[in-house]
Amino acid sequence: MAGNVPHARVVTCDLNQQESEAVKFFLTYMDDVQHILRNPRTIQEREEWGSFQAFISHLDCALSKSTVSQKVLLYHGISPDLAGTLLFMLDLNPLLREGTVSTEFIPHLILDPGYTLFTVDPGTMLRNLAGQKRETGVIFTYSGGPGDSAIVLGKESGEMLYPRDSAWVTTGYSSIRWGTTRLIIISLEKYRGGGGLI
Amino acid sequence: MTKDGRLSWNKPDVSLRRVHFLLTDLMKIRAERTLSEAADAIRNFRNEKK
Repeated sequence: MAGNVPHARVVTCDLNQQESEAVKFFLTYMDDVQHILRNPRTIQEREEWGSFQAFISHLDCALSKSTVSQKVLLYHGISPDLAGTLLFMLDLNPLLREGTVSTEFIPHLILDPGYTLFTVDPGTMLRNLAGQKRETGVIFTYSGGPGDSAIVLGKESGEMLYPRDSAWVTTGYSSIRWGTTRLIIISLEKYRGGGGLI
Repeated sequence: MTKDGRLSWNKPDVSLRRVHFLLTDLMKIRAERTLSEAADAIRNFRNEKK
């Protein structure tokens, strides 16, 4: 299925050797890198901290040289055990009528100290949900486009890496039926500090 | 961690913060369009499965 994923077009300027190595390193040690960014105290006092910061700096540079050249719809998931709590915390109605969209709610920021990884393949999220016996599933969607900094992590996987320490704002949600699962889709935008102030 | 796992936020990964602004009309329009496109993509995937 992943081979059928429409490839997101990303223009990447020439990366230097250190930046290319940083991308490769991230691909290999993604879980560890994300864990450290989200829990920096784990190595902050250790000798490796300097090397880790240098690596992150190269990866950030690589990201800054890569921009999305066309609109692409992206997806991100939430762990199943967190889905119900998240809907409550985001002030979303899990019983929203199926087939409807709501933008009448209090927006929230989702802050991730790590890099945000999206996929262009909704099937990746849906196959994950299919293996669970829960009544409600949650998927985030983001409409990426020109000007976004992102790196394609392998064309086959359809994964796109967005910058670390991003703030995402919830802008709406809808409910559809996916087999026996009620699926809540939440739309995100990058938070730029705008919006109409209350 | 599996591919599916790293594409999902777990509780310790993120923090949530209520924001003190209203969504602009433009943000709402973009949200409606994005959600509609996502729903279509999911329905299409469902059709592919059949």
